[in-house]
Amino acid sequence: MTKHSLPFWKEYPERDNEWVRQYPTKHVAIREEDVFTQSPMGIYVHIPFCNRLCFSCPYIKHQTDSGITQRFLDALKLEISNYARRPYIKDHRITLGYIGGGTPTSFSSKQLAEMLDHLFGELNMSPDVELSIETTPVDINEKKARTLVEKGVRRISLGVQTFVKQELEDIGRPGDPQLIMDAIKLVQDAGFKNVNIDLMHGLNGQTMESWEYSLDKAIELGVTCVSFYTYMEFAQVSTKRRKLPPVPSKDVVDEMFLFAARKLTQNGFEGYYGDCFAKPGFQPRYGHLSWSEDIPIIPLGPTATGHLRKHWYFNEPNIDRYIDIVNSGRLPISMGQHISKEEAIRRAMVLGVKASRVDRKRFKELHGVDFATLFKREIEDLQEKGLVTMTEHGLEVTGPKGWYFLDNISKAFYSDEFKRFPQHLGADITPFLKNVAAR
Amino acid sequence: MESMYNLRERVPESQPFSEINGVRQYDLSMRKSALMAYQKPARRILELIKQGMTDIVEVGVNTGLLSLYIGGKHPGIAVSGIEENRNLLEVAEENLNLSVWANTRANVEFELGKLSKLPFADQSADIVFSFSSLHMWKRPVETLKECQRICKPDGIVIIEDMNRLADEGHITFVLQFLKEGAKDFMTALGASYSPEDVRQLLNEAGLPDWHVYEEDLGLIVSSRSLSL
Repeated sequence: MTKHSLPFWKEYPERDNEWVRQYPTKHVAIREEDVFTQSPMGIYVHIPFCNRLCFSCPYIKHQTDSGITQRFLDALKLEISNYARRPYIKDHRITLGYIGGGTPTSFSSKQLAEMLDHLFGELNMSPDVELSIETTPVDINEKKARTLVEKGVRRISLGVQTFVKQELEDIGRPGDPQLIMDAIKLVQDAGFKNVNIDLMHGLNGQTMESWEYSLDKAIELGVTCVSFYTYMEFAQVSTKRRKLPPVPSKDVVDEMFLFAARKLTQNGFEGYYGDCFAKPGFQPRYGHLSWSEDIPIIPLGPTATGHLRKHWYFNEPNIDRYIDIVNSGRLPISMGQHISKEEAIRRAMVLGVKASRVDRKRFKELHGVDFATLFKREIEDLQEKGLVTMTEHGLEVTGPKGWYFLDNISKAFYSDEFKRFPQHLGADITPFLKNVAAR
Repeated sequence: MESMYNLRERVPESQPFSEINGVRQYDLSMRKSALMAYQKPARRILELIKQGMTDIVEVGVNTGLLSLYIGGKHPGIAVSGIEENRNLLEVAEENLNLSVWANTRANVEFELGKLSKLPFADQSADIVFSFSSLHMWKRPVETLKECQRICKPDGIVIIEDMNRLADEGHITFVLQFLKEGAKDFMTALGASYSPEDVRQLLNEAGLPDWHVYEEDLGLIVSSRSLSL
């Protein structure tokens, strides 16, 4: 260390005569806004109702029933208010939001307005909050779309699945592609500049040609984001399902993914989470920021998952119990996990790679460690498999192969303790666990 | 690593399926959402069926779903199911009635009987199978001997049930899907055997050459080696 020649600095054995009482010592101008800055935070709202239950969907949802939807909405508002009162929440501003389900637009436009007014009224919503909502082509109309835009929702996602009539009928959807195209135009005309559609590959009877047709339609309709999902055929017996053509072989399903990735990138889309593609400037920040920047997320509604204050947790899945707990004045937190410092670092990798890249400098700022050193072995293994590359900035998932194996990459960073456990779907298994604190 | 579930010790079920309405609920949930569990065992049995086979026996038919499925695929083969729980048998009969009404071509029969004294002649069955029943057998060693007795020399015995000590990730995964049936599932899992328990039963039955495999949440006991 260089010897200090400052007048007040004395090196042992000379006695220093400056009475130390502050640290750090260098000071710069600071304003009250710097001291009381509000950190960013996100919300996830789960609306567990659908007007039509799809047998291909594994998520927890219930038939819309006017007898319960308003009771549920009243409880949801109470839950929002409960969070809003807490100092920790007041210290944040909401910059990200995602309203999923279920089908959030199973609510009437009046109920949607009521929910959004309450969110904006109670929480510190940032003026430029990126708020997304999910809908289906059937559950949206002009009044709802205009209400959503007017009340601050900026991005809408439609569960389209396919533009092929027969494929729509075979997954139990109204088999009218025109209805879908009209719905997309309707939301665009209502003022949504950012429109995502979900497409499915691996459907009964789907061919590479029909898959290409659906992708072409998506591109032609001018949507800004396309996400695609692999269809999972559930084992169920119904006279309808028995007569369906078979699903394509695994090889074809794999090829469909790569084909779609190539086609969309050739048409001006950029991949962001493996199976999600967006036109430049339209990539949603929700997942990327909550994962890569470690932005806390408030979970609202039954089965909603979030992470706050060193815990990830999800809410009570049973609607009636959810309503009762919220009405009793408590938060409906049901189950989750404390995130230790070591697991927080792993979590940042597990979820960070889902955004296709992990920035080395930013990671160190947030978590205090160099992930390239810490996970050297895991990263080298992934590099050998051709799934990731290391650049001067950090880790990049190698597309399109790495996009397809994104979840494999993610799991490479699990700790041994959590390696063999599945992702949670929101069912409450606490009654079966050992040593669970009485609730 | 500490286990999440209290499954180290086997806890036999005191009175499984003692309520007929509970059995109907169970059957309904199986038909509606838990058929996933039936797929692999069904495929395994179908792959074992060869030209010229005449008789298949199911030991512990539960509510009859698997026998009805196999019988429907092979109407030329007689499928006989034995069950010692009256409520399970009653619901299996209800399912059989419906399948007969729907003109099934299957040749399936269910019968009440002791699993430790199967009502079949020696070496009379081409395939003896059991699914999700072993953990309820009152006298498992005797039943295993009986399976061996009624199986033809070139036949095969294949018994599948849950593995109490399966990977906890599998248990968690299944639990998430079961909703109302989760409690019964955990009770049944707690009453299920571990691979080591089963090897001990086989040794006691004088069948040390039989094979024990683990697969996902289940274990498979077979009189011949299987390529899983």
